Amino acid sequence: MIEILKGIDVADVYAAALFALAQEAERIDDFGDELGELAELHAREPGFAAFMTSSAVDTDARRKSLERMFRRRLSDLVLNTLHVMNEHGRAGLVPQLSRAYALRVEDARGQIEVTATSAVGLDAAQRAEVARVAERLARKQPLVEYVVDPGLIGGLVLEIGDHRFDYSVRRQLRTAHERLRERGERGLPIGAEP
Amino acid sequence: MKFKADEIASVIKEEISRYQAELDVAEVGQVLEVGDGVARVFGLANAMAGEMLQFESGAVGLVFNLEETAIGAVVLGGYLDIKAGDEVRTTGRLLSVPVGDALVGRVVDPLGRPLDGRGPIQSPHRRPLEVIAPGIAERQPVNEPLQTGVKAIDSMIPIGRGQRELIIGDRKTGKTAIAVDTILNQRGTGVICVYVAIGQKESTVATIVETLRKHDALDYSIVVSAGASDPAPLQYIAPYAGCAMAEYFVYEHGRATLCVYDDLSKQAQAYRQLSLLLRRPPGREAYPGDVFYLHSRLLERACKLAELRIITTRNAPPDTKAGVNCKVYKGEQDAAALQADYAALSNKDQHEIRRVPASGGSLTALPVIETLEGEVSAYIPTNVISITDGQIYLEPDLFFAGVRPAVNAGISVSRVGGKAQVPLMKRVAGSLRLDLAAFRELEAFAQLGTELDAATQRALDRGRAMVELLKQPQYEPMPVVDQVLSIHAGTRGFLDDLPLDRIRAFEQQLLKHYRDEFPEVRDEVAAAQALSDDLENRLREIVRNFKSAFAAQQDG
Repeated sequence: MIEILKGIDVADVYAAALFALAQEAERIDDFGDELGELAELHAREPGFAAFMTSSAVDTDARRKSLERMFRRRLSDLVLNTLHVMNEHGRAGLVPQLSRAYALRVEDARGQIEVTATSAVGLDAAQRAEVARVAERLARKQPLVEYVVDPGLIGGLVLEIGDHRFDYSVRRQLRTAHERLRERGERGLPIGAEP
Repeated sequence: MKFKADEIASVIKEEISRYQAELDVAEVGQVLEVGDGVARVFGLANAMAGEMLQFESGAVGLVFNLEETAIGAVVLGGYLDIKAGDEVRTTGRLLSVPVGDALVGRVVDPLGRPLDGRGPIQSPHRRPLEVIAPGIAERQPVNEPLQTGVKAIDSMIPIGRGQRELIIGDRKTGKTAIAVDTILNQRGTGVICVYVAIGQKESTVATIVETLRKHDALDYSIVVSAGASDPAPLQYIAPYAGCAMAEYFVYEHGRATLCVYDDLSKQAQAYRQLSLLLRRPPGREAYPGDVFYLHSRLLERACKLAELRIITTRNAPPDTKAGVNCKVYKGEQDAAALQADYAALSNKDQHEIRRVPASGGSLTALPVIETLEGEVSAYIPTNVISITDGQIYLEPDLFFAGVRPAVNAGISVSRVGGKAQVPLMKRVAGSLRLDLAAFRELEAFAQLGTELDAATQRALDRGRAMVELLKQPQYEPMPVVDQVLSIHAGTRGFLDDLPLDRIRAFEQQLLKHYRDEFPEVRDEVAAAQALSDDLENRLREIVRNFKSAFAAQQDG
């Protein structure tokens, strides 16, 4: 997860250009799917990842190989984007491109990714309630991913963009722990508020 | 300290009873990369410059760079536990340190954590590390002396409370010795001293702490230490932390304080390291562009706060804050109005002018800068020289020639301290600095071996005697009365014909003579506002008589 964040600012420039073209061609979802497949290939096939990122492969050779591999399998515009990135020495940023493109699509549609983590699985009614709360908090249409983490002990954690709304038992216990420790640093006298 | 189990239990009980589940809302980012005390964090789009960050590992960070998709932060303390991908939370707070009486007598790190193994520091007060220095209206001119106890300084380069006086010199020229002597000399004056050690060997700091303890100076001192082995971020914040600890006494209690920053060249180097690691562009000597502001904002916090005065009835309680006429007179600008209003009172004898408690505090700064091979025109020394109100320049040549403290009188100055100097000292030592500087020139000339006329010879003799008189051993600060008496004997020429190796004995016995035989003259000198002819003549008489006795004793 953390690797994908490195260079995402660079990839976003290409994603913005491709997204604008996709809007004109009205093929936003198609391009998104293709980029998703490419990113998956990148993650699944170490050979492909090495081929894209390695500096041992020169630009020209990579261009020819890309042409052979993807012509007529990818949309022309997506393949051309890969070529442009290759020429600028950015061929290794395919996963970042896919991610940045997805974020742009979501942003344009007024959607936002939300992760809801709970200690036990949620039923349909609870999920609907979580989605409702998330929508109210984010003021955007939430794309909720539900995660189960027994380490929370109880409660729910909602992550919306950079913000985290933590109502888990684990956080409550930690807060109580920190507060007691701070109290120890301030001194024992009881009832003395800071 | 003994912990009582039931006390702790009751605290926990109270916390639990007040406990209510709260929704914890935080902005969370992720560590992209970390190393050398700096971290790059993805996300945290709403982070503020200078905001405190909380890392998952428990470490605390400080936001430095705000970039498009990431922020650059410095990590205070252990960065080795932080991994890429770790969670980082913003706190919405600025960095602060614990302050208060609990810190006095302690040795702490720049975050206020104890280093002396004497238990936790429990203080209810905190102050932010970075505060904007007081403005013009809150200040008043420096008017009280801060006695260093060092003859060469109090006579020629007087320091006032609220002044910033730079101590500059090569390594091993006695810079720290002067600072430590000054701290030792504050015993019994009510001045709170903060010694900030930046990038020094732990052994050196331990020696200084031991010296302070041995001379009972730790009772009114705080030592803040960021050693050479501490990460650069701690060395960078150390002076601000020490300053914040002193400011508590200045602003909350109106006390006089003294802050020694030993030394700021190391702090500048730590800041250079951080800036380069955060990829800020390097400038002259690879220091970042804002290295001047680094020191100016610190030293600008040294100040003499304006005293607030009120007119009250004589029997009003000591913590009265409002005057009988509901007026508060601030500093120098209201001094005339205060006198006029007081004079206009019909029943003056029942009223008095009082200072409002907690006003008029001062923070005197003694920054230390280490030069390389006497190079004062390097970047950091010129910066700090231009910020401070004068400098004490220490020279290796003098130091190794046995002139200790090795103060070069020619290029050392105090730009504001003269106003605060004890009046008698001003009269006695008035031209001493220029005379000594002239003597150094003459001395160089005399080495050519030419025949000298009598006047030049006399000037040389006087100069040699004064240099000898101004020598002073370490850890022996001298009360200002003794300094006046001893320099009086020197500048009036009583030492000119003594052999140089007898001058120290002469001075010691003369001061003892004053103490034993003429305590009333000593008291008079201590209290005198001006040197009257009568007092001058009496002093001369005493020294003359003592000198003949001294000579007889030597011969016999």
